[in-house]
Amino acid sequence: MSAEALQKPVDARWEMLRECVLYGLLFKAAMADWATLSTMPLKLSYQMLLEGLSRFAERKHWLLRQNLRRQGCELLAMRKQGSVYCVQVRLDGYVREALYSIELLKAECQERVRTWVVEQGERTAAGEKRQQNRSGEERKTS
Amino acid sequence: MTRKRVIFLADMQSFYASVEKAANPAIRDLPIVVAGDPERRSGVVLAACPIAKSYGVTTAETLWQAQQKCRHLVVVKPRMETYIRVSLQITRIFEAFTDLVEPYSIDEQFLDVTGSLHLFGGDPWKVAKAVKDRVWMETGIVSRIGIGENKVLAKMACDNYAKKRKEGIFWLKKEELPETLWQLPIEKLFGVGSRMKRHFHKMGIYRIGQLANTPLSVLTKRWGVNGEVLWRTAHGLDESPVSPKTHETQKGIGHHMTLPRDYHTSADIKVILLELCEEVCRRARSKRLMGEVVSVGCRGADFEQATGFYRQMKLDRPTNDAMELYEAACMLFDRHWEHTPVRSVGVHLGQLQPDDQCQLSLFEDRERKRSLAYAMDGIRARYGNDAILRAVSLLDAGQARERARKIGGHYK
Repeated sequence: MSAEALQKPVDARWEMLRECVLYGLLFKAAMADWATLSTMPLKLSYQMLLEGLSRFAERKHWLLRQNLRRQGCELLAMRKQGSVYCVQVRLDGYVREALYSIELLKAECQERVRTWVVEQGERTAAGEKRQQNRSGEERKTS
Repeated sequence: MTRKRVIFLADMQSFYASVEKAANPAIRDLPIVVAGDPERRSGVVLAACPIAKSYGVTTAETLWQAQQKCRHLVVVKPRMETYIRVSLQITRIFEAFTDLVEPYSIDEQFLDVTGSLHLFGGDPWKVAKAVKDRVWMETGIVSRIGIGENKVLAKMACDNYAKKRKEGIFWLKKEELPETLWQLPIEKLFGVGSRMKRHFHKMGIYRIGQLANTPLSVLTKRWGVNGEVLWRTAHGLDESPVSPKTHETQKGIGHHMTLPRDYHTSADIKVILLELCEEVCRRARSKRLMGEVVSVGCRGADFEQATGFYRQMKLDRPTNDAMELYEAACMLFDRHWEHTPVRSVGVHLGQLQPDDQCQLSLFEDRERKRSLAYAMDGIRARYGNDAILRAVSLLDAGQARERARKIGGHYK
């Protein structure tokens, strides 16, 4: 096997499976956090933010799940087992098990939240810039 | 003709540091070390991440030395329970590839994939890569894999080649040894430490190839069976199986403590001896065993200039009672201690046998002592190791309270 080939994953479906599990947990965690926050007296409402995050993660989760199924990988069960998160899948007809460290999943979810927040910020900034350009052009033509 | 085996040795890169980095994205791009007690700036570096290593920080150096090499070093307190849990998780991941998995240490495990290779495509490189990928994706830890037809070749493939390659995998083939392993310096041979290296240099042996070409009789004459083992290792010969139950058969139970300072008086050292005897006997009882040979070892702070002793004696009868063991340990200590400062103490109980049969005594109630010890063990198991302590452990010399918060001398 060449050194280049060794850099790439042997089966990309395992990577996709991890992403799918991560987004599956993220959308549930965002809604669970919203349920906790909604019982607290706060100055602002974070409903839109958490709902947006949860919707984004859920959409991603189902998209990945669909892609996995198309590639012969079906998610059968997910459950917590002590300090690991056990995911059972049917891969090319064989039942396999992935054991994710819960600490790692939590950290990776946190990373995806950070990326989502940055992307949302960039999208808002780009929208504002477009709006400014449009109003500048309108002023010129008038 | 027997089929060649395919053995992997999987080693986790900077294991403790990698576990911490996987759990905390904020420190992933920073130089970190896992070390003793960051608040007290005490202890040694247990693991340094590759970024910290690039500043010259090494494992086992003192924390203050490491901090001098790298000013913005992030120091993380060890979490031994978590590391043990992750190690067991990795064993379970390996068991998806083969049932023959032998933990060699907390961060190294042997896998015999000979029988299951065909299930994963038949190419050892691909299987090793798949193992590596799974460990990375499920634990966030980078692993390196050495491949060989036996355990020593797999180990040397990992230590000498896989760790130094970007892809982290290397296959050390026996027929290619003259071009690969034999070219390396003698200290790269598995089983050769600094002392052995000096002996070989005195004999004019500097490379592994020179050792392999030395007549076996010369080595056995000088080192007996150990000489033969080294010669066989140099030739890549090893028939030992990968046995998952290797840690289930126990030959002895020992406990060792490195002290926070030098202990000078017999009274102080005996406090530690008693605490060690308590711990050894508690572990023996938990396995329903008792031992007949006690060994005691003491060493001074300067490990280069060896001071101290390691002696053993046979007891009149097998025991797992702390006070009986303590009496014997004190006897050995009084006989062999030369009044030099002591920095590390160890007690070992050997020649183990089941504790369901014992010689009754006419003069003492052994059964009563035994049930008292088991009752104390029950309380400790339920409420923690410091739930019941001997009064001497409350003295300045006592370490039992501090050790109750630790595993293997490091924080839980």
